[in-house]
Order: sequence, then structure tokens, then C-alpha cells
Amino acid sequence: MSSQPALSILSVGWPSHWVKRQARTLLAWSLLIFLYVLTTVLSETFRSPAVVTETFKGATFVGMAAAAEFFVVVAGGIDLSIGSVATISGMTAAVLMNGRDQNIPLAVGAALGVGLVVGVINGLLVTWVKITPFVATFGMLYVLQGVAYSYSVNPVGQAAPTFYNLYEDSIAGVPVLLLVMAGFWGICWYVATQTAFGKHLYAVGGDSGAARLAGVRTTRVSFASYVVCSVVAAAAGLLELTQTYVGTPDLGATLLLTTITAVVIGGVSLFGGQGSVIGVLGGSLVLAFLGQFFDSVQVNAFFQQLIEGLIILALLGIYRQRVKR
Amino acid sequence: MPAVRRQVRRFSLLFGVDVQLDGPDELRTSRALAGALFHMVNEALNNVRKHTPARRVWIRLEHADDEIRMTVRDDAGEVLGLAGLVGSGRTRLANALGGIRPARAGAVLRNGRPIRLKRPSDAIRAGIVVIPEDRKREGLILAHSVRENLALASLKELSTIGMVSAKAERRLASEAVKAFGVRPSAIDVATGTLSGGNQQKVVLGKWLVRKPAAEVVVLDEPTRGVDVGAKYEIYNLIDELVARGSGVVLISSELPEVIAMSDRVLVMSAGNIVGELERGELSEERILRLAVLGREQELATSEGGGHAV
Repeated sequence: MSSQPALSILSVGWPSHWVKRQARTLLAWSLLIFLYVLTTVLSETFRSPAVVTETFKGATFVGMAAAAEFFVVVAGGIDLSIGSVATISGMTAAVLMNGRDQNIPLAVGAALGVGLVVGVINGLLVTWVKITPFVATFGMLYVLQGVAYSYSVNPVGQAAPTFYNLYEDSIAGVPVLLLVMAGFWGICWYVATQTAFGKHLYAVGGDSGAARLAGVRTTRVSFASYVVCSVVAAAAGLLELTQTYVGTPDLGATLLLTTITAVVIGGVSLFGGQGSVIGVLGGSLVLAFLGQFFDSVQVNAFFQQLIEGLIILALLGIYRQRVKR
Repeated sequence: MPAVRRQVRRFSLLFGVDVQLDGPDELRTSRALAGALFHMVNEALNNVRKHTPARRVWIRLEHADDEIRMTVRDDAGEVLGLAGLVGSGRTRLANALGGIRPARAGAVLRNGRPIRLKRPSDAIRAGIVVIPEDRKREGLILAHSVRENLALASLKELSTIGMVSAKAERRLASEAVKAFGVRPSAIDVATGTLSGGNQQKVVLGKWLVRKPAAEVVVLDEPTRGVDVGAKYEIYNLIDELVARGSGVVLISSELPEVIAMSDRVLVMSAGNIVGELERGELSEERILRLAVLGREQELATSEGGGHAV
């Protein structure tokens, strides 16, 4: 009885289906491995484990924000306010913490609370007021950026020592930050693939009409995707605060484009319904390794942008061919 | 016995052959067809509906101005045909029943009590499932696998506090694929790569595997754009639905299909139900006459047209 399904799975060519379904994820990870090998060959400094660990740590902020964006994009939406949510969250936490350890719980709670509020507003704008996601969250981007700059143009507040030490601390040689991230990505993977909520996200993104007919409460699901996105983006803002020490109004300024880049490289369809958490992780690591690569071969940052752009265009071209069949 | 008759009529419907069944020995068919027919009759005899004594359910839809009354009985395990010309309001009625496009006025009564159908999930909870005509756009997520599509309506049943059992999901999908003859039988292929008939089987299968079984299933043109073999299998799936205690509403523009499959037929014209024909009264002519002329005229002409103006 138990061996029967396994046999039938093999006989229908399970590996090829798996490869087909995971093609985009595999592509992202192949790119990552390629970059890793290339950098190791070209740069001697990169061969030290410390530098690799540093690269991984550098990928955490963008990675977390990309995971946030993933939840909205896979459900067929888009959230452009993600960077400004991280900014506001980081500033809120820095101001409330004010360099004191005992303020950490309050500051973290408030920062995540800000994310929750923004997520609820975004969700309502899209599902209830029925503004196109692109426009609604674009508006929110401006509003939040305005709030941040009108509060202060200069850096404000200060992270507490226990909080920013998180970036450097390690348990038994493994950086705490990487442990936290492993747990975070594990949870994201679980939610996206093993829960009814995750499957509903994919269904709504894949075809919201069909999902609705199957009894999925589509407006609820997309509302929830915006809330999850903003809360996770706020968490990413907190993470960035461990490196910047102070809250600045341009904390998440470049975040929007990099997260979307990571999401696209990770193989998530911007039309929704397709992509994987593992792919997005790969995509954000590709960006980090790409940065490391250009640093090590000492090419200027503009050239790096050009290469990132070319990678995106090449990948989208490949996906487009696949869609056409 | 009625199941046999239905099978035979279905056979003639599929192959366009006139088969009359007066007694088992008097099958007037060619010899080649007789073999196939024998097989089908046998199969039908084996599958004579095992009636599950279902809950009695009446769904009635009332329209504000013209009072459309439609009663779906599932105690009889009934297939209710809904015939009419294109644009006569059949799909509109189905969409209202399924909460897809809620009715602007009127009420849907279930067992005499009004139910609110604002969205499909309301209808599903009330035991009404509507499978719309455009399966590509509305019935399936084409980029997703057969497994994901089959499980989508049953996620709640497959999960505990929101966590879906991957094992149960795979089991549900592979059992469904086997039971409904979906080809290819792999559950991880994208549904978009399947043929039209197999896609339709997945759409129907999604509701057949769902527990509890739907009390009323409304099928809008289920065999449109489907090859002959798959048509036959879809008819079997309809029987399967009935056998599991669901009442089926079959909307079809193919009159022979409506006549062969239905126990009772409602005819719609210009947004109203203009006639109800029991099985014995079914003929293409009567249905068409009602559909084109509406009720009064039909009565007038059938009385000899004496006082028709």
C-alpha cells in the first residue's frame, strides 16, 4: 500500500515535473552558484569564510524585505511602499529605544505596530476602496516618505546596545543574525507552501476568478497579503537598524527597487501565482553576491546596476519564452 | 432500469445513431454498434444508481417582478435540465444561484428559508456549487497543477488549524485522477496542458471529491468544446454526482443532450421560466416552441390556435 504511490510517482516521471515546476527557482540558484564560483576564482579575499559570512549577513535586510514583497506579488498585487515602511519602522524603533536596553520591547512592538497599521491601510485601499495596487501603494510610499522627512531630515534616536549587538553576536561560532534568518525563511517557506493561507495566496494570484469560484475569499486573502507584507517590511526595517544604529529618513530609500529585483531574479511572476520562497531567498543572495563580486573585482557601482538590469531583462526574456510554450 | 434507458439514449446521442430500445432483444442497431452498446448497457446495469436517501432540499429562486420559480429537488437525485435560447437568462440564473453575480432583486430560498448569496463561498456553504461555462477563465487555474486545482475547494477539510496535510492532498488528488479518468494521470502537471475534456473532468472532480457533497450542482454547458469520449465521461460524472446525493442542474444548448440527461426540464425565455416539462413530455420540438414563443403562445397553438390573433 505504502510502496504503491511511490512507484506510480516514479513511473509518471516525477523528477521532470518537479524540475519543470521549480525551473525558475533552480535558475536563480544556478545563477547564485555560478556567481559564487566566479567570485571565488577571481578574488582571493573571497575565499575566506569570514567574507562569505559577511556577504550572507549583508543579504539579510534585502532578503527579508524581498520575502515581504513575495507575499503580495504571489497573490497578484504589488507593494511599492515597502521601503518607506522599513524607514518609518526603523525611525520609530530608534526614537523609542533611545539607546536604552529596557526600551527594546516597546520599540520593537511599536515598529511592528506601525507596519501593521500601514498594511491594513494598504489592504483597505486595494480591496475596499478598490484602487489599483500599483497606485495605492505608490501613494502610500509618498505619504510615508513625507511623514519621515517632516519628522526629521537628520538621523534621529539611537539603537540600544543589546539590539545592535545582534548583528555581531554569534552562538557557537554561528552568527545570531543568520540563525534568525534561517528561522525566518523556514517560517516563510512553511506558510507559503504548507498552509491553507499560502495556497490561497497562490490561487488568488494565479486566477482570482477561479479561486473565488472555488470558495476562496479573495478580497480577504489579498487584504491579508498586504498586512503580512507591511509587518515583515517593518521587521526588515528593524533589522537594518542593527547596522545603522540611528533612524534615518533614507533608511529604506533604495529598498524598493532591490527587493523587486530580488523577487524577479528569484523567479516570482509579477502577474502572481508563481514563484517560491526558496527562489526569493536565492534572488536576494544573488544580489548580495553580485555586490561582493563587483567589490572584489573593483568595478564601480554604476556598472553593477547595469549588470543587475541586464540579468533582470535576460531572466524575464527566458520566462516569457516559457509562457509562450 | 431507467439508468439503462439513459445509457442507451446517451449512446445514440453521442454517435448520432437512432437506437430504439423496446426490449433487450429488439435492439435495432448495426452489428458493430451492438457490441459497444452491449458493453455500455452492462456497465449501466452495474452502475444502477444506488440511491442515497438524501436530505430533501428545495432551492427556489424568486425574481422580483416576474417571479422566476425554480425548484431543485435533490431527494429524487434529479437532473434538472435548463433549456432556452442563448440570452434567455440561463447563465444569469446560474450565476445568481452561485453567488457569482448576485441577483439584484428577489430571493433564493433553501428549504423555504431565504439565503444570502453575496459571493461564491456563501453558495458553497449553502451547498450550491455552480460550474460556469468558461472553464478556462473561471473553473481552473491553468498554470497550477492538477493536484492544486483539485484540492483548492477542499483545503479546509484537508487542514488542521490552517496547516494543510501534503499527504492528504496528494491522496485526494491521485484518487480523484484515478476515479474520474483524467489523462494524463499525473497530478503534478499544469492543468493548462490538459485537453478540454480532461480539464472539465478536473473542474467537476474538484467538487466530487469535496466533502460534504454539494446539495445542488449547477453545470453551465459542461460539454461545450469537448470531444466525444470525454463527453461520455462527463455524463458519467454527472451520474456520479447524482449517485452521491447531489441534485444537478444541467444548462445546455444541445437539446438532445438536455433530453437524454434530464429527468425534468425547465425552459427559459427572455429571463423567465416559461415552461416545465416532465421526462415523458420531452421533445426537441416542445422545448424549442416554449423557448421561442413563450408560455401563452405555446398553449394557444397546442389548443389548435383557435383564438390566436
